[in-house]
Amino acid sequence: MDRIWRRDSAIPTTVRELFDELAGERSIAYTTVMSTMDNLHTKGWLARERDGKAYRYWPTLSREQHSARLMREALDGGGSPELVLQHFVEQIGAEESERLRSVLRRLAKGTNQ
Amino acid sequence: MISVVVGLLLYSMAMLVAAPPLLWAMTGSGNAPRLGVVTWLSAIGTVVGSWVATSVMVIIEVISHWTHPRTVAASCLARLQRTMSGDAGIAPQITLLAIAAAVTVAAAIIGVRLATAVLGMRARAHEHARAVRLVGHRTGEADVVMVEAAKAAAYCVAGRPPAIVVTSAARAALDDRQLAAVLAHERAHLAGHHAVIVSVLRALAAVFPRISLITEGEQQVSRLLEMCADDVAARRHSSRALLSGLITLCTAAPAEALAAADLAVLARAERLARPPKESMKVKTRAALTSVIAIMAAGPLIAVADCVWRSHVWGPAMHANLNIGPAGLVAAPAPLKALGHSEFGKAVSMMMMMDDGHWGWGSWILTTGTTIVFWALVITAVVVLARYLLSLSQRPAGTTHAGGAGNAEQVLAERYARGEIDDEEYQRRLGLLRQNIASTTST
Repeated sequence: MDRIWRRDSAIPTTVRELFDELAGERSIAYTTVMSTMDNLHTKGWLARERDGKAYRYWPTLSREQHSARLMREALDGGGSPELVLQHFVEQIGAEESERLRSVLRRLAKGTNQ
Repeated sequence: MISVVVGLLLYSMAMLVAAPPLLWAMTGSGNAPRLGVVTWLSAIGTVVGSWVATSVMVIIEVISHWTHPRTVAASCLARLQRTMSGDAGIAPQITLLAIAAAVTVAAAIIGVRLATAVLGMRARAHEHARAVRLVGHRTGEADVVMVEAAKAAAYCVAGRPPAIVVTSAARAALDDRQLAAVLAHERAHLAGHHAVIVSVLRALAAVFPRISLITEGEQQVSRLLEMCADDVAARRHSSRALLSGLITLCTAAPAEALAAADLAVLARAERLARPPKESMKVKTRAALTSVIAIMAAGPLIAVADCVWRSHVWGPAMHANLNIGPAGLVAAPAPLKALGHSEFGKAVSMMMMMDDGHWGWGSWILTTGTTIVFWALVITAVVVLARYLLSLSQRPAGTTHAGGAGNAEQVLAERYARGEIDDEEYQRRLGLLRQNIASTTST
């Protein structure tokens, strides 16, 4: 996915092109690249179009769009009850967090004394 | 069998009423978070377990009647006699059957709902972990991904493999020491499989939204799990690094939405700033361990108590009623095929009916003593727990530099809880500080 996002999104990629690129750096099987891209397509991350014998793939959403979607899912509205995440600090309201900060600052001073 | 069912139901009812406030009071301080989690889980576990046992027994009871038609016939015979004397008819049998059917259906529905909820949460978490790994940037550490976001946040999500997510804003806000402590906190969650505990409790809370033991348990357990993770991270790094990380992330988070987690964060910060004393920890642990022991023994005592009653009181009543062996010989053969306690009860019920004046009186007497017995046990537990708690809390109140810090702390807590507004808080804080200044200058 990293690779596809780094390429120009205007030009769809074939499995062969991506394989050539990857094979230059490490040993990887052509079928691995192919099945990975097929999986990503079935999961909705890549769109594809038949071009002769091969498929041409391009990302459905940019990395930024995906990040935004995931972070909305994780951070907004305290998170949905169906998604169990362990936040280090729960997301709280601006007013509450302002209050909290003042209290915490005082606590921190207390430990430094 | 019926007596065991009654015993278990009494136990679970007692727990539903007595446990939430008691456990809240005992685990609220966070002196022994891990044992606190165990206490809540065993409270919820024994109650749910006793429900499961109860429904299984009711179903078995009806099935055993079905597979032994002769006993059904016998009990019908006994009831026929009563019908003649204007008591109950065949209706109880049908009622019992209806109850068993209802119990089976309800148990199945609840089981399916729980399973789908837990599996759904697991699938969602795994999917999120996978997606975050695709979208995020790799960091030096294999289990940590960084995702571009304006909000400062750090969280972990279960998956294969699990992921710890740190947003770019959080990475920018935290220094290396703080980040290491925050990551240790999240790793403690993953290593302890805290997500599993939380999802099971969340599913239970969704299925039984009105049972405060479960809903409060869910909230309290997630709070205590945060503290457990804090303890691990503070041991590995330092409580100061963790506390400053906590404060940095609170300060950097420009959040807009809900969640009354402020008190939870405050309590955590408090623990990190002033770790509980060893003596207090020991006392809280002693109190919690005794409560766990009582809860584990509770259902067993309930069962033993009821079985004991049906064995000892049953024959005793026969003696009182002067039935003796003659009554047993006269009883129809199929009735003898029943289990001895069941048989004893059946006979004594019949004879009591014949005798007339013992009948319901003895039943009320037995149930009454059971209830009184449990009331005494619960009172004893509450008194014991209160006593142990007061022991563990007194030193905290009396020590600590003149109580000035404490007064501010209490004020801060009330402020954080929203009991007093900004003005009131500032005014009171000013007054308190004036007082301190005047006492120190004189």
